[in-house]
Amino acid sequence: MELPPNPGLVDVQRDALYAYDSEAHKAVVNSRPWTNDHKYFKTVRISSVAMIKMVMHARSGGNLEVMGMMQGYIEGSTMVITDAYRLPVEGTETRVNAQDEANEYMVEYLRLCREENRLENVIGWYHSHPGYGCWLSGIDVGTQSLQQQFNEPFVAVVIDPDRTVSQNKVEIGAFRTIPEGIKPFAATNTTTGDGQSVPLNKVEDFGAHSHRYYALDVEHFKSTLDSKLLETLWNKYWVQTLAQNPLLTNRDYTSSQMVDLGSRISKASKSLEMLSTTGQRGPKSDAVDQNIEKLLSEVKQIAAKERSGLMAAEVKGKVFGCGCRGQAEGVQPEKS
Amino acid sequence: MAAATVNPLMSTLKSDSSLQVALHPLPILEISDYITRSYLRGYKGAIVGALIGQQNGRQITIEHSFSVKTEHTGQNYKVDSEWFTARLDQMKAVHKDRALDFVGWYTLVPKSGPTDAHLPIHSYFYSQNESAVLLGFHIHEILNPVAGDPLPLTIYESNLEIVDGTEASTVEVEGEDREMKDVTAEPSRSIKFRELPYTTETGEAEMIALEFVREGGSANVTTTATNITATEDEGSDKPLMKKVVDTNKGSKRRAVSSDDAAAEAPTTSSAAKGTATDKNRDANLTKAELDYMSALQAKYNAVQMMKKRLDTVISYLQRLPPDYLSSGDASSQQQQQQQQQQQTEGLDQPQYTVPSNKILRQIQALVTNVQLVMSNSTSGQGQGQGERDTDLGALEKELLKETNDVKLVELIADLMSSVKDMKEVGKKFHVVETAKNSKRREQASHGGGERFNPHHPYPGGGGGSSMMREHAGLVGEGSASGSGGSGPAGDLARFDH
Repeated sequence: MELPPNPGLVDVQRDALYAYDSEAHKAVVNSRPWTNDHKYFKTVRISSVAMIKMVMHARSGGNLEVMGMMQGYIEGSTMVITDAYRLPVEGTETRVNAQDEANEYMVEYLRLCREENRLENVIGWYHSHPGYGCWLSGIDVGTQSLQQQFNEPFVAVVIDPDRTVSQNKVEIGAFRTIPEGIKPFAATNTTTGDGQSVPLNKVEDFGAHSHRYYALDVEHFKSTLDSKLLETLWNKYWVQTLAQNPLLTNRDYTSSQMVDLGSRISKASKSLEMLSTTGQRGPKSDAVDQNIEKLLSEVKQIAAKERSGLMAAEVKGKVFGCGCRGQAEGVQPEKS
Repeated sequence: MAAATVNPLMSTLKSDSSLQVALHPLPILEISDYITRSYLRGYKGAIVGALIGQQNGRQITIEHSFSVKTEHTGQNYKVDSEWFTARLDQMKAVHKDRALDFVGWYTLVPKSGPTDAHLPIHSYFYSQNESAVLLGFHIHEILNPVAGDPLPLTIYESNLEIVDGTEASTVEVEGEDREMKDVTAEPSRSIKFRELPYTTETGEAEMIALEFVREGGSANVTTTATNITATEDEGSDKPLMKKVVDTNKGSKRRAVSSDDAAAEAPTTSSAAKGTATDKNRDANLTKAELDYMSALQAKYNAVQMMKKRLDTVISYLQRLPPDYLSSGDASSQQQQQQQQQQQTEGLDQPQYTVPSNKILRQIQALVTNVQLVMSNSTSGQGQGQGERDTDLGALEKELLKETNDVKLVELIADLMSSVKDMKEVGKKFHVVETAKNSKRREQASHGGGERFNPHHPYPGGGGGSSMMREHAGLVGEGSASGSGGSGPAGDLARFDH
């Protein structure tokens, strides 16, 4: 039952994120490197296990917001999240608040972790925003800034399970608040992490607090063993991988995106026209430039998605000989 | 498994309980996480964890897991009961929505099955849940993958069996915890393990999260490297692969345009592929490019997997005994042809597979289906030729339509970026113009003639906006064609690149 001496499953270099030295970490935390720079932390790296746990939890909540805690450590300006666990709080529609029960649960959970020799501290919390994108509401900002005062280092992660499922891609954002009194930059957040728009009924809440926090880059990591297992696991899905037709399944979604894009482009072009007739320069023209840039990145995203969808269809055509150019290939894919 | 018979703890009886196990991927990754963490933090001790899931009669799902604290006592490990109960209660509290409960445990198990060392812990878990299964993770199997790439784990169920009786029968223990220890101490009855078949199941969100975790990072795992040489003739996929690798290795920026891969010498060897891509995953590739790469890789793996499966079928057919082939029952003419063809290719394997009518029938069904579903290149078969042609035509049309739509979207993206560039140019032009203007005015005040048109305040802006207007119209069209007709999209698409 014990581990055999490292049989080459683990690469000390590549899997270094899985190591943890609690003493050294304590020293780093005590030196409080983030005090002088209110945007000290720039990246969040989430382990595969934590990522899957959080997404599944968010999805299990349905329309309710759910919440949990994340364990990990900091390394330079990166916050590494090694694991996540759920909290037994049922969020109301739009707000999540850690109650006493949750606090007790948290303390007990950590005690058990320590006994088990898992020494990472809590490094943040996650909650879900079903259907309205990844950003912090007023209450979230309050919670997060409180935690940042007393529990540093601390990060807030938001997951949108609805968008995750509809876009077939994990919709996640990580945020930290900027201390009050510090003047925010001119244009910090106008959209959520991924350039996604916020539904109209949430826009007010979104806009009112968006200057109070900034977004961190979210990355994820996995071990060599993870990737081996994932690859093996993936082999079980090969039929789906080949059979799926993303162009077809996402057609409605893409169409709606295109319609949205069309109206936004015409809006942008109108404002550009106005600008050109008045011949103004300055902040207003900069805003239009930014707008165009945003539109550009969005249209590029859509195009990339479409392209890989087409690739899927083409591969299918090639392999099964029903594509336009597939004739010469012959039917039987057994070529060996 | 041949080794199973040697292991005294493995039952020789056939599984009669018909327990059905559905395994979710999360526990597998948690085990992997546990192992990696333990190696890097120098943790010495048993890798033991509990599995939680749903149990409905004879059906078990394994959905979540958590690691369990164990103590080393003498030569064996023991579960900290207090700790376990506390943690299990916690896990149950947060999985109320699915009503998950303890269903089994995991640890490292040699391929030959559980050993005596596993018994103390297993009897503890057995006392918690009588049908607790044991998920044995075969850590050594990962380094020496077996054909077909099964997951390196086995799920065992356990039963109390009378070992010395003339007729071995299973004994149901009615949940008596204290009696358990007595029972195990008795030599006549002891816990026996039996392998259970399992299926893998994945939830919707779980699947997306898995895919998300899988892509990016090291999508190119070296486990596939050994098979790559065998698939040199994978047609279209191969050059693309190499291209991707090369650009990654060179870590230089690649234009999005599809330049020919042949221009770059494919120096990267297949073996180096995994490491090269992993090391430079932060190279200057855009996110879209990385996504595209991993999508390609996924397709490649799927195609390769299919090929492996087909190879298995072919080698099965090749190894059928020759007399079976001539007897002609249960195999169609076509199949025979195929087999004979394989035979004539000069196989000299003396050992033949045992013919199974069931498998052969399945293969035949597959072959027939393939003909029905796929294109007309097997024109030898006459039936339904016309029908198939129309099907094929529709398919081709569909594909063409989709291609056009995609190209159109790409065109819009290109247009958009040219608009942006135009604006940049316009701005620069404006700067130059104003400078010129003021200079001329200076000259004019010194008596120079004025020849240029002052009614052009913002050239770039004007150009940009008219382009934008066209563009908005185009997008409207694009969305329309996205939901059906292609129309002028086809003509437009041809101008792309």
